[in-house]
Amino acid sequence: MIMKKESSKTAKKKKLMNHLTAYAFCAPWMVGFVCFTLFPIAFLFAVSLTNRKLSGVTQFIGLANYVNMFQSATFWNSIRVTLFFTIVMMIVTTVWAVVMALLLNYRQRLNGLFQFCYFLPSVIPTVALAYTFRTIFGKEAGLLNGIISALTGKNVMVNWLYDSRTVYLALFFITLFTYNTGQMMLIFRSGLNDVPRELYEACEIDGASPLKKFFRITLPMISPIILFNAVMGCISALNGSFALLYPLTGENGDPNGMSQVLSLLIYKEAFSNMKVGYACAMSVILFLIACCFGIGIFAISKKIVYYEN
Amino acid sequence: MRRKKLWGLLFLTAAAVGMLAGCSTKGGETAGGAKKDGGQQKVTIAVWNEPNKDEALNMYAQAEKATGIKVEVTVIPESDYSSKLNQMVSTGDNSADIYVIWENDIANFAKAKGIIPMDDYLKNSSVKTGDFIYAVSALSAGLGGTYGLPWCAATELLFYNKDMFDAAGISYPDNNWSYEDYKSAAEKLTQKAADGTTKLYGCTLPNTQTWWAGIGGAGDQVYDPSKGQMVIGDGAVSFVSDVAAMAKNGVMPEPSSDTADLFASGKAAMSWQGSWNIGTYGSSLPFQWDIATIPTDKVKYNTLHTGFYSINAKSKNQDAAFKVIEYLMGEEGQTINSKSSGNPSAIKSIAEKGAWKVESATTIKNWDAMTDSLKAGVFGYTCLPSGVTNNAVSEFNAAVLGQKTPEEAVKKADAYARETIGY
Repeated sequence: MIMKKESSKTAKKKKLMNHLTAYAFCAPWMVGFVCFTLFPIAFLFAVSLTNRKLSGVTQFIGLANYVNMFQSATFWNSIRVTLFFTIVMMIVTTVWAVVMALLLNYRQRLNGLFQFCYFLPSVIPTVALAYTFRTIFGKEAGLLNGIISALTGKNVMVNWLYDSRTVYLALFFITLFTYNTGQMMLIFRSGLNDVPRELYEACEIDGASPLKKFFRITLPMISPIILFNAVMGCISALNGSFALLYPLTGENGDPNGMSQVLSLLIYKEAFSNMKVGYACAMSVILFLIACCFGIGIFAISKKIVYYEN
Repeated sequence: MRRKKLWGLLFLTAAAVGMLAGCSTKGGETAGGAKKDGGQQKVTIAVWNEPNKDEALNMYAQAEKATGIKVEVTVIPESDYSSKLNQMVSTGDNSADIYVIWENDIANFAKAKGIIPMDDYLKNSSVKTGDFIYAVSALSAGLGGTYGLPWCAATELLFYNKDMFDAAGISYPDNNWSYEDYKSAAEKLTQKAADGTTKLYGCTLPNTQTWWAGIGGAGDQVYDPSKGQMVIGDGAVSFVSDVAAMAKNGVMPEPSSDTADLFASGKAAMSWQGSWNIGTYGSSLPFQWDIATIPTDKVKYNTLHTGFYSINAKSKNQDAAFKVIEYLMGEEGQTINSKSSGNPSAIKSIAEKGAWKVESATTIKNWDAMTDSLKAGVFGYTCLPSGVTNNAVSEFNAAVLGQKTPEEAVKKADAYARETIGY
C-alpha cells in the first residue's frame, strides 16, 4: 500500500516536472508576449481614457476622446480612406502576386532571373522605395513625365501625386513593388507547385480551356494560400501603409486628405499635435478595424476556401 | 554533470555582471550624477541643425574653449525634433542638459516641469534680458518665469534673381514694395513656352512657413496669444485665392511632389523664404541675387522664428549648463551664431552691429531688409502645433489645385484648429 502511494507520488512529481519544463520552455515567448504585446494593448486602452500629451501631462477624461473623435470630420474621412485603401490594396496586391506567380510558374529559360528581378524591389526598405517613387512621380522634374514627354514629343506635366484623378493610380502602382507583394508572390509560387499535375492532365483530356483550368483547378487548390495572403495583405495595408504613404503624401494625406489613412492621422495627432491620449483612442479603433477585417475574411473563407483534408 | 554545473555557474556570473553593469551610472557620470569627461565637466545640448564645420564659426566649440566645459552636441533631425524633445521630457530623460526649444513647446515644457526657470541664474549673469526685441519679451511673458533665452531672431524675406529682373527690364524690389507691385512683377517675369507651359516662373509657391506671411499680410491675426488659437478668415481667403489664380495662370508652380528649389535652380525669379537661407545660398547661386522685405498687402507682416536655450529639469549639470548658455547669449556667442547662420541676435544692441551680414553673400546690397523685417516680425504660426498649421497648408494647397474653394479650405483649416488646440 505504502509502495503504491510512493509510486503515485513519484508519478505526480514527474508529471509536475514535465509541466514545469514545458512552461519553462514557453516562458521566453510568454514574457515577450506579455511585455511587448499584451501590456502595450492594455496600456493603449488606459491612455485612450486620458488627455495625455507627448510631454507627459496626463489627466483622466473618461470617454471624451471617443466623443470628440466621432464628431470629427477629419476622423470620418480617415476611416473612409482607410477602408477604401485597405480593400483595394489587398485586392490589387493579391491579384498581382497571383498573376506574377502564374507567369513565373511557366517552365521557361531565365525563370530564376525574372523572379530575382521582380523580387529585388521588394527587399528595398519601404521608405526608400517611397522616396524613389516620389522622385519618379514628380511634376516638373519627375522621371515618368520626362519619359512620356520624350516618347510623345509633348511637354507632359502630370501632377501624379497631387491630382485627385491620378493619386490612387500612382499609389496602388507603388504598392505592387512593396515587400508584402513580393512575399505574396513567393508564397503563391510555392503553392502553385503543390497543385497535383494529374488534375490538369484530367482537365486536358476533358478539353478544358486554360481559363477553365485556372478557375476550376488552380484557384480552388490555392484558395487556402489566397486566404492567408489576403489576411496578411489586409493587416499590412492597415498597419504598414504608414511607411509607404508618409514619405509620398505626408501626414495630411495630400491631396485634400485623399490618402490620409488612420495610421497617418494617429501619427499626426500624437507627434505633431502632441495629443497622445487622442491618438491612442484612434489606435483602439484601428485595432478594432483590423479585428473586424480578420474575422470578416475568415467568415467569408469558410464558404469559398477549399481544404483537401 | 560537473560540466553542466560549471556552465550554469558561468551563466549566472554573466547575468549578475550584466545586471550590475545595468545598475551602474552612465559612462562619464560621477556618483552625484554630474557628467565628467576625463575630469572635465561635460554638458550635452540638443539641437536640430549641424554645428558649423569651420571651428571659428562653431559656437559650441568656442563655448567649450571659453568656459572650460566640454560641450557635446546631439543633433536630432528637424522633422522629428519637437516630438523627440517632448518624449524626452515625458520620460524624464537627462541625456541632454540644454534643449533648444521651439516657440510652440516652451509653455508646454514649463507646464510639464521639464525645464527650469532661469531667473535665479539670471540675477547674477551678464545676459542682457532687458534688451531683447519686443516680440521675444512678449512671448516669454506669462510663463511665470524665464524658462528660455532666444538663440537668435530669424525673419522671412523676399529673395529675388537680379539677372531675371534685368532681363525683363523691371526695377528691383525694395522694402516699400506693395503686394500689388509684387503680383504685377511676377506676371511680367513669367516666361512661357510655345505650348503654353511655363518655362520660368515669376515666383515660387509659398512654403509651409511663408503661407502665413501672406495671410498675415492680408489682414488676419494668424495667432491670438491670449487664447493660444489660430485666427484666420477673410485674409486667408484673399491670399489663397490670389495664389490659386497665379498658379492657374502659370505665374507660380502648383503644389506637387517635386522637391527642387526652383529659385536656386534659376527657374523662378522671386521666392519668399526664411532669412537663414542667406547663409545657405551664400555665393553658391549661379546668378546675382538680393533680398527685400515681404511685400506689404494690408499690413507689413512676416513671422519671426527662434529657439530658446533652456535647461533640462532632470539635468545633473544645471550650473554648468547655464554657464554654457551664458556664453552663447553673450556678445561673442551671439556674434558667432549670426555669422554662421545669417540670423540676427534677439538682443537689440548686438543685432545692431550687423554680424548677421553673411560675408559670402556678396551680391546682397539691401541689408536693411533684414532690420526692417525684424521690426515688422511677429511670433505667429510658430506658436501653434505643427499638425494644425501643416493641416491648414494642405487645405490651402487643395484650394490652389482647384479641389475645393478657398472659402472651404479656410473653413476646414479653422475647424480642425478649433478641435485640436486646447486639448
